[in-house]
Amino acid sequence: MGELRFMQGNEAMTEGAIAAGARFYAGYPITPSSEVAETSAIRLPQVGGLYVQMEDEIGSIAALIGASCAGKKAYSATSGPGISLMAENLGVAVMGEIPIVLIDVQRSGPSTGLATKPAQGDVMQARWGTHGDHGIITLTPSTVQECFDLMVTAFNYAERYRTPVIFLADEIIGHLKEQVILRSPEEITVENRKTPTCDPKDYRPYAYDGGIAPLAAYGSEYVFKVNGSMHDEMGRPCSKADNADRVIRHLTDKIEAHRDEIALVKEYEMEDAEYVIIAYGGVARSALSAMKKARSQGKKVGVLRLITLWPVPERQIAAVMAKAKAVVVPEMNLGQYIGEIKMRNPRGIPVAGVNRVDSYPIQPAEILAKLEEVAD
Amino acid sequence: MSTEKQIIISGVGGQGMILCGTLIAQAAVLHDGRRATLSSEYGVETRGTFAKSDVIISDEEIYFPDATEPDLVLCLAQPAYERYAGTLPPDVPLVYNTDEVTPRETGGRQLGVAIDHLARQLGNPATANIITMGIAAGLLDAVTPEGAKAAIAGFFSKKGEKVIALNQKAFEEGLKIGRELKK
Repeated sequence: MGELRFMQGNEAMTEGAIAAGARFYAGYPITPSSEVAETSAIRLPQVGGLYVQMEDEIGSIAALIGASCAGKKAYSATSGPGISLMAENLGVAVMGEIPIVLIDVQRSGPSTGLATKPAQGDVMQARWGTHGDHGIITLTPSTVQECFDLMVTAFNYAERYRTPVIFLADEIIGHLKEQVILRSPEEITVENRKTPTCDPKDYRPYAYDGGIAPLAAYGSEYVFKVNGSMHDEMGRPCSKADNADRVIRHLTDKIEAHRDEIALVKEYEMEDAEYVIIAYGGVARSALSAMKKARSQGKKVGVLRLITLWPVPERQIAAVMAKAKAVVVPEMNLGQYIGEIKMRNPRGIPVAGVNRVDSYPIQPAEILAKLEEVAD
Repeated sequence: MSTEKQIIISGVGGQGMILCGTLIAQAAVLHDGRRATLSSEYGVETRGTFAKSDVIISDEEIYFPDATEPDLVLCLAQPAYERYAGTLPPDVPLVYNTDEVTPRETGGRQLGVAIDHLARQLGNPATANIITMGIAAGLLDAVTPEGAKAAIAGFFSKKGEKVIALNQKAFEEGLKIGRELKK
């Protein structure tokens, strides 16, 4: 049985990470994510884990990569300014196919911005924050319960696909306190990376012929190299054109070709919905309040809540775009995700954004007003 | 009929407004078996600028966690008062701290309480936010006194029996005032 607690989103993320088996945290505290660091510093030593306060975010992600190479599940929490610093080494984790989880509790930017105020301005940064073609997984929670549950999923995806996963929260959810059930081990499924069983001299850490290659741990009898340069299946530097093509397509396809397994959404009142609000993160709660009000007035409004942002939940968005009369996409940015919806609109239905970047949450009334507008 | 109650507890950084809201919401969830959310707003400064917490208590799932239609607003400092005075429907009570707030005529239901003075009388000015918690519990049937006192005991458990007793007394004092004001 789980345990009912009243807890902040950031704190529930720490509990979720520990439940998923994470035992290493390296980070540099930053508002509005600092409580993840604070609670990790308390909780990890209690479960045999290690918390390291690093000199900056560049070192933090490097430490995560090292810990993960040594076989530990590793995570860090930061905000946009920290993700900017981590972007270079995020690419190393992508190229080296090292599972890590990066929590970004978004605040108002650019740069240092408004430290204590919410925003959703890092949606595109999560997708393309590091350079070069690659796939990436980004998950976004809307409740404190999801800060726990979805964190377990984040680690499972990282392990299953040997990839960094970005846990894209926002200040609204990170600092929100509400009830959460801390699930017991028997209530959750924890996945661990495949490890090699072959003769150590036959180990190929980047063999793509069987999908995702097993990942050995540093310090074991398996010896392998990890770095940011293009490599062959043994991890040796390799500048052959066909190899580069093969690796880059693999890094993209291992995520994109599995989008139906990775893409999570939740539907609300969608059976008969004529007007659909597509929303994510803290703003999804404004959308659900708006939906509740609209339904009480007899309007057929539903919500598609995106839990996975990257890869794009194609199938679920396509189903909405095939049926709805119009779609409203509220975001606490100037329209970073609405483009993904607009490019999947074969019937040309109205797609309208509700956008705020003044640091205040989008009010349900603003979404209702936009619904009225598109319904006219 | 909706059972939802929305409370805004506001002041400036350092007055413990977020703790006050947290303990009310926690009491509702852990002791009264209801649903509750606590969302907060504060500045980058640790002291002196506007800070508030919005508490919503309900028997149903709570979506938008900001108090858009408050049933009660408490203002412990002038910047908080300025934000809410005159913005509320006439029947929604606004409780203000007479030691920190100079009120003006708004046509609304404004109730002054010498919260800081009371806290000093109790022997510790830091109990002002717990008195505030009691006032909220007395004015609105949103949280049970037993639940609130259990939440207080839980939060101050590491500080010992004396501190718990002081804060529970502060809550009781606030509760009495809240119930008087309700009449």
